[in-house]
Amino acid sequence: MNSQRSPITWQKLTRKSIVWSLWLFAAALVQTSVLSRYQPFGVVPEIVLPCVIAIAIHDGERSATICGIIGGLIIDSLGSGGFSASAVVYMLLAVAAAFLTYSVLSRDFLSWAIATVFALAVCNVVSSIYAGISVGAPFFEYLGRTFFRYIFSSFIFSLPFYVVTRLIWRRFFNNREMEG
Amino acid sequence: MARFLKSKFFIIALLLAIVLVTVPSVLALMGQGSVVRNVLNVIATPFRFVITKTEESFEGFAMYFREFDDMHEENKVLRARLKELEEQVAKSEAVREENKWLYDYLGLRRLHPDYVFEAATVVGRESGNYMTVMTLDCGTANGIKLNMPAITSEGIVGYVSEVGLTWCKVSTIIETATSVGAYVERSGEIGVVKGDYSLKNQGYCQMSYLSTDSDIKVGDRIISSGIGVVYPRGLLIGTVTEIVPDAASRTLSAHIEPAVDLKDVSRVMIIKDFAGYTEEPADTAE
Repeated sequence: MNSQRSPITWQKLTRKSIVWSLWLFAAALVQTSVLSRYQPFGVVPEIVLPCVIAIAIHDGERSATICGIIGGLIIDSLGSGGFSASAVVYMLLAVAAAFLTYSVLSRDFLSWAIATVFALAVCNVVSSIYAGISVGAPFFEYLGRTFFRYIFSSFIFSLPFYVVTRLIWRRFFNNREMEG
Repeated sequence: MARFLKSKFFIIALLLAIVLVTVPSVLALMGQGSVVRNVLNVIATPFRFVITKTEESFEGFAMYFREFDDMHEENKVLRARLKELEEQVAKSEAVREENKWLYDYLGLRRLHPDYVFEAATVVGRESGNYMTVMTLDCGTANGIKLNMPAITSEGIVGYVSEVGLTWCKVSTIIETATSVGAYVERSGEIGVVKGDYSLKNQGYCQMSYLSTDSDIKVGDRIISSGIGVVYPRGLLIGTVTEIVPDAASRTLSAHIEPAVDLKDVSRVMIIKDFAGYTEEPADTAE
């Protein structure tokens, strides 16, 4: 991939990080306070990861890296206890989504949808492995029970968050630090 | 991509992510909360509180409609249940009345073992305040013939004045064309109970041809004497309500209130046979 780095200052990056952190924090609040209570389709939909993917697609790999870490950290802090590796997983998935966008996909809804479904699938597999290790849940049974519902539910409920993420990006950061 | 993955930025970020994942996890496994987790949860708590309260408000609002729907549904179910119970009550009332009627019928059968009864239902009435002719749902097909007496457990109703295959008409004892041989139960004074045009509108009949020194009082019970061919002896006709002198014939007349409520009677028994019954027709009953 031939990338051309635009001049981005640490100040700019910090400002972006703060704005995205607040947005991811809001998404995490909705996910852990509202959606976790009602559990539509029998699972807790994932909202933060699709937001991170949306940021990665629109704002590039640096934002993807930072927002992946922050998103994972927030969701681990607010939503779970004990061992959790969301910060690393989200970061890697976000970076992958950013590079896919610049090399194969484009900055549009379809790209976000494909990247999100892929990321959710990976996340669900990781969760199944973690469930197997931590509480001894049978991997395939857990995966089979939650896989499609988790992806469908997360995708549906993250649609409005994608729209807002895109609006924030257009309003504040429509000057990517890297062009594909 | 390779350049970015090898960049200091990515390597530092990855290391930071690993540290941020590992340290809190280890601390959590040791039973201690991490600073990051603690700070984030402290910040999140008021927001969560607001979200929860807002959620509860919406839930309460939605609950109103849900409860309204539930109450509406419950109301429908209760209405259906009420209707069902009302039907049951109506049925049980009918059964109770029938039971009473059958009980009375049984009593009459025991009292008069020689009577052969045919139960009949009143299906039609002559219009007017006091019914003097009523239509029953049995006729010659049931063995009903002219002049057979119709009674209830309370007393005499009348006699069969017209009969068809499946129906018959009964002229009541207050009908002007009717006369019944009778006596006063208390004193044995005899006379004839007849329908009277002026009394029939009040639902009464009249016992005539009583001598002025007859032993009869208001409240006396009047019983059929069995003289004649229609009514057997011993059936209650009614009660004396008033005694009036007849200046022309120099006799007394007594106004009789029939024992049977002719206005509301719905079932009667026709006596098809009894000891002493003859099939001779009588134009005015007796």
